[in-house]
Amino acid sequence: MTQRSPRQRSVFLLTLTAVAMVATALVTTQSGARQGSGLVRGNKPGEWRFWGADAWSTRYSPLDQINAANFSTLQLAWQWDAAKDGEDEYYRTTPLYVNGRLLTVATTHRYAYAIDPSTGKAIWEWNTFNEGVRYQKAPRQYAGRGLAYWTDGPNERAILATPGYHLVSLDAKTGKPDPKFGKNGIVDLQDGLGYPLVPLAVDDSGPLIISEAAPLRRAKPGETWNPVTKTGADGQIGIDPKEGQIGISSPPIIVGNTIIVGNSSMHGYYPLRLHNIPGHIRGFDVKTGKQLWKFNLIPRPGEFGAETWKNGSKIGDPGVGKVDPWATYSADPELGLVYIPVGMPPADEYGGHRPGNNLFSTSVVALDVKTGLRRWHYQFTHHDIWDYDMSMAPNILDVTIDGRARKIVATAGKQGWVYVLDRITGEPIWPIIETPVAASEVPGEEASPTQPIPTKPAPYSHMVLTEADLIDYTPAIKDSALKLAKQCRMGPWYVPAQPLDGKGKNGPTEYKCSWYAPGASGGVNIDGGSTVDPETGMMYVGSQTGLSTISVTKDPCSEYPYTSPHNSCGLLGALPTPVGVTADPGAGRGGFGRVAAVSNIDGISIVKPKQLGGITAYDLKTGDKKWWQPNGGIFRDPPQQTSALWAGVTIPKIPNNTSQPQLITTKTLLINGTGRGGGARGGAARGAAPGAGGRAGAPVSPALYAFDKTTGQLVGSVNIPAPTTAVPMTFLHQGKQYIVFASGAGSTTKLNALKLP
Amino acid sequence: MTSLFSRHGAWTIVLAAAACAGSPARASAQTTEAATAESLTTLAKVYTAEQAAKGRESYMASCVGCHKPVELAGERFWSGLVGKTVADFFAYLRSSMPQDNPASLSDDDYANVTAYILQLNTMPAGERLLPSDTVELAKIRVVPPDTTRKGPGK
Repeated sequence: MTQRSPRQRSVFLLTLTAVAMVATALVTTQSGARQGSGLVRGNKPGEWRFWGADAWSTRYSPLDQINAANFSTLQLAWQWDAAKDGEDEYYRTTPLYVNGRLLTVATTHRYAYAIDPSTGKAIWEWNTFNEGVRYQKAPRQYAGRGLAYWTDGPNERAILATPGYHLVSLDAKTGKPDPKFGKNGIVDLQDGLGYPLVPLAVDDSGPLIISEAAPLRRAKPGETWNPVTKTGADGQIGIDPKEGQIGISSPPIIVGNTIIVGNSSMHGYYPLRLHNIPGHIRGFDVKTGKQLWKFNLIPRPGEFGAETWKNGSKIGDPGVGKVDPWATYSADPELGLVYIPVGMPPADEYGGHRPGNNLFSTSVVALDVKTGLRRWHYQFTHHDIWDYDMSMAPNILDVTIDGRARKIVATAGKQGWVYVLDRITGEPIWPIIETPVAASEVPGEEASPTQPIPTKPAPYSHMVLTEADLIDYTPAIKDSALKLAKQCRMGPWYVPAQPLDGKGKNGPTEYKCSWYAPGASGGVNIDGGSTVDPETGMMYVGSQTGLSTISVTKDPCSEYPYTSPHNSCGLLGALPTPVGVTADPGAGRGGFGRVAAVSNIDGISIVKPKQLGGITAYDLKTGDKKWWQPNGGIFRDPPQQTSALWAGVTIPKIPNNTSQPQLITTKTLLINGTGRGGGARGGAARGAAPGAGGRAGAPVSPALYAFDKTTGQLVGSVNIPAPTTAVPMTFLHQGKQYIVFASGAGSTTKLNALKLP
Repeated sequence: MTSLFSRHGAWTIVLAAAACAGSPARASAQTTEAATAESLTTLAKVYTAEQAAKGRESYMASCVGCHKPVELAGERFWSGLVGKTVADFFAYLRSSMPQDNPASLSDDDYANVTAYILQLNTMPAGERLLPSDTVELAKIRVVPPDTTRKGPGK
């Protein structure tokens, strides 16, 4: 920490007073949200103590120093080089701000750092932890989304879950591991799941290959490390890799003295083995690292929900695996409940081996923080065969609906709907109707006959494809669009994948592909998501919209009858190559892969442009949509057309929709980072809204945008060095409000701090 | 063949489908025959290092969530492309990727990503810019990388 001048100190005190007043004001309107110690929803107003700002995951800050009048004058205060200790993929992290320090993670090793917010210089660094082959084969090898924070007043901790699946407790003041926590500050999260730990080894020097090829293996007796080939046993222990693989990418959440931590798995596109390690939620004591409880996200035989796995739900049964709570979490400290979004079982687009609804996959589960017992659950997609993992922390609000004070939890998912539930009981606020949906034509697959479809609020993303969705500027264009649409199976929502070989359970199928929207990235996915305003009851959802297709086929070297089209033959860990199948799938034979369909005419999507994707504002007091904007407020010029088909047609501008908008709210603003693919990168975005940092038709600089929360009007923008790669955050430090966001990938990862001149 | 490594598909089939649809679809099928007129290959320094660097940025922004570099490089990858032209691969990328939002990047971005993937497969960089015009790209045949040469690779 730098020394403060007396003048700075007085400003600081004034500011603290102001913050306290804001806090008091909040407390009067949000009586249910306040805890002791001046905390509101677990956060000190003006700080950012949770990944989602507070325990409710509102991503809301009561600060208003940065506002519509001055947003466009923001300046770069500093950049912190997040790659100084190593590269990352794109930098997914949202830092915390507590007690004058920014706390963050960086690099594929997920090292931890505290940064002085006024200078951008490190206060401490925790950057030497070596997880050996457990890091090398980690299913989520990147910096992850951030840290969790705990304090009891005198003591402060930064809690980190590493790629190799260790839980680390660091002194938030010094960065030193807490010697009272686990073993020298570290708990092995692979321990305590009911599996013995064994010595581990690798047969190659590379990472895990999606989905689960080239895995770790159990070491042979006496096996040692070969430093030349970088193979063998390096002394690491863990769960026998034949059970599957496990890691983590999101931070835990801390309520009281309990750290609530889950896990993540590898992607499920091309799984090899019919089972994997199932997901769990566990509670750990923040002072000792002792495991307090464990909740099985796949109920074991005899547990509630086990009957939703008709072929069995014990470890090793087909399809039992994953159902991983890989996204961020939210909690209501007053109710003592934590809200866990849960992922799906393998495979992503086929589940014939796991008939039934498969609880608690693609659900939100409310658990008692003290006991880990289930209070309620809600499954948003039954028997998920669309990769519709619940991918974002639910948002919590207290609102008055129809004259009645309601405690709600709103979950925006990949599916394209906001699911609004009573957070005490799990009951829908507005009816969610079990609606008949399309049957699967894939042999062995029994899709759920119904899916829960909300009556309110209206969707924020385009869903699958019907004739009414198609562009119809002229009869000829309509004909062309319909012809393309008929390449694949259509429907309003939840259309299952088609068999690529056209061999259906009832004979030849009409289609070899299905339209797929939202796709596997949503709707809402982890890079974007929603923010809520606890003062107004508004919810702002950042989402994508698009159109693609799905098909399934047999991978000859996987245990699954069907997966996303792939050939795993020849990969380490795959089944032996069957006779007649070449071990080298690169040899250019046909027969694999989906029948991909073309969904655009001369670069113009066959789907009518609608106010979907981008930013959708909902009033959760009524469930109504209030306003909509494309990501960054940007519309792109459509490709220029020369063919006769388009003669005389004015093609509407295309809403910027290629990335997850990254949103937070302040007292008056909705702040919008465009996300890694959604801004003006490489000239991709053309034609900016007024004031958006560029003229229509010209490439615009990457920018951060501000909208009026109430009207949705763009009120400011500021050019930034690179597009945001994670949700920004804001805080007050020494009397100045800052906005900090991650950017970059590889060796260009940075934290960027903006402040007023 | 990319399909075997990319999440959703065989680009040869994509191209076939595009052709069969007989539509005014943009994914024009530049067949490998087009390459026979000239003898340009992927060993002939057909992209610039700067272009590959830009392509890596786009890749990190739009592709890496589903496709890790290790899956886009090496014999398993390039052997499926041998005998095709770069136009075939480019057209596949543009018509099918990103999976959730095909054709949503600019043509220059698709060309840059193609350059990055050539670089991952140790094809040499040079002074020439990889074009985004499929007629020009169809003149570049994919051949096995020179394994005696140590490239930037992965």
